[in-house]
Amino acid sequence: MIQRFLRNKVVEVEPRPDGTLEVSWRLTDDLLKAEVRTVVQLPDMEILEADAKLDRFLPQGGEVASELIKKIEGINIGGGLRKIVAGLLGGPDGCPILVTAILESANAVILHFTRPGLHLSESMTDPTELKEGFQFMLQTNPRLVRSCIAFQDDSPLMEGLNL
Amino acid sequence: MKIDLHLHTAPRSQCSYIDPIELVAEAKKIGLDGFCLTEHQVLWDIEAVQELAGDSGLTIFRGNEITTAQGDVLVYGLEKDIQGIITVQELHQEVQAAGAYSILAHPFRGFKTFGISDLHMSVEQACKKKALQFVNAVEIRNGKVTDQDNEMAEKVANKLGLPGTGGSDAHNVDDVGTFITVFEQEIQNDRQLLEALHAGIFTVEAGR
Amino acid sequence: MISFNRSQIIGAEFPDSEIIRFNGIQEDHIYGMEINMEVRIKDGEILKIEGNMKRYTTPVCPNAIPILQTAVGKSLRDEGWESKIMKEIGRKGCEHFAEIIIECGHCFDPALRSRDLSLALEKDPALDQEQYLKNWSA
Repeated sequence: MIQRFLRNKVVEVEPRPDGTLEVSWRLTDDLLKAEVRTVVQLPDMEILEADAKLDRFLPQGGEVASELIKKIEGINIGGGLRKIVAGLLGGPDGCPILVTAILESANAVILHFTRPGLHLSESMTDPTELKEGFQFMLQTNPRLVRSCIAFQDDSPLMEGLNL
Repeated sequence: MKIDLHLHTAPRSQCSYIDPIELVAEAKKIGLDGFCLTEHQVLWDIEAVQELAGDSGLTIFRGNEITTAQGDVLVYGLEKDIQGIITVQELHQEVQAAGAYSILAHPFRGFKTFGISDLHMSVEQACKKKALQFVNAVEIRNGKVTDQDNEMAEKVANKLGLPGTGGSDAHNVDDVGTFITVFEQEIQNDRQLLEALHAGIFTVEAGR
Repeated sequence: MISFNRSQIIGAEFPDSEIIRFNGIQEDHIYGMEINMEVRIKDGEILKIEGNMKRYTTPVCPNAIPILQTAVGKSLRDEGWESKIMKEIGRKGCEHFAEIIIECGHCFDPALRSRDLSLALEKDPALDQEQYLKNWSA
């Protein structure tokens, strides 16, 4: 069936020579075109720069998006980010699309750091070795425990662990 | 006196799965003397806390976990209802004006799939975290972070001469009391807890 | 060089005047997932949902597919629907499925606006689109 609406989103992370990460988040759909760019400083993951440009039919807060996004500069990617971003960029005077853009950009930074570890686990072909690898991760990171179905109490990956 | 200073219950904290009544039973089971309810931006009513404690023999205190633009801060003795996102400096002013006490919660919490150690942050770099200038203490043992994240918090607290506290940050009943703060004296109510925190005579240990 | 890249594509069809059908795809270096779901337009209730996992990280991940059925009956118009989806589908099932469902939810009103605008343009090609969308309500 022919689609009446189509949204395309891309987020990409690119390490820069000065050690920062540049994150480009872009959205295009039938009504909206949006681009949000952030620069993240390591190791504290501070958002150094943030720019936004919205086009076509502007959503709530779209007219002030390029000024509003500046509120996020100086914030660290870390605990409570969801609430911080919603508080700074959301609400009746905010711009919900910017909230989504920043949270997805931050998530992409986290996944940039996650990817190398997963490459390592792919080299484990023995199921026992793989399970032990996951169990080591679980034992050393309490935030992973019960975070999704793979790490719920009844998961085979949790067998024998008292977490 | 063994107190878990950092706990969340449902429905006041949407992210928690802990029924307050189950919490009381679990706290008794694992031998706590009390705990402090620190919901996200919600302060329990004193009457509701007294009713929850009932004749359990536990002392239940009231705190609050406030999300600032620079991170989460646990506050004790602050009655003001703070909504929206404020800066840690603004919260510090409120805390000082009320004679309250603030603890920077899980200051170096990593992520589900990687920890602070993967970022290769030095203690000196970590000490520059802005929020550390505007709190009374640092949570050096939090039950929801990795050992490395907690170790970094402890090293930073030591370097800056800030007191260190412990709390489970439990969102599931099985996690209650993973870390606790131990006070030498008997503490009966919120005012006495505040005095004990300001006195700074407490230690941190694993509670289960 | 790009170190991480994620694409999300959400499409919306209208099989009849009462139903919107979403197809959501999320592809990145680590995960590859797809959601198809039908939503009742008048109240945002999820009527039907299915998911497919193409790329994932643990052997347990596909067990999240049946958990998707707990989304049926939930409404994309309810207060706090996003956190409910993340809690019920994300934490108890798969966070990436939840992300796609949430993005479908974000596309709910834009898809209705887009459909109505294109139908209005068929009737009146000279329509002031900006004004039309300003006056539009769900």
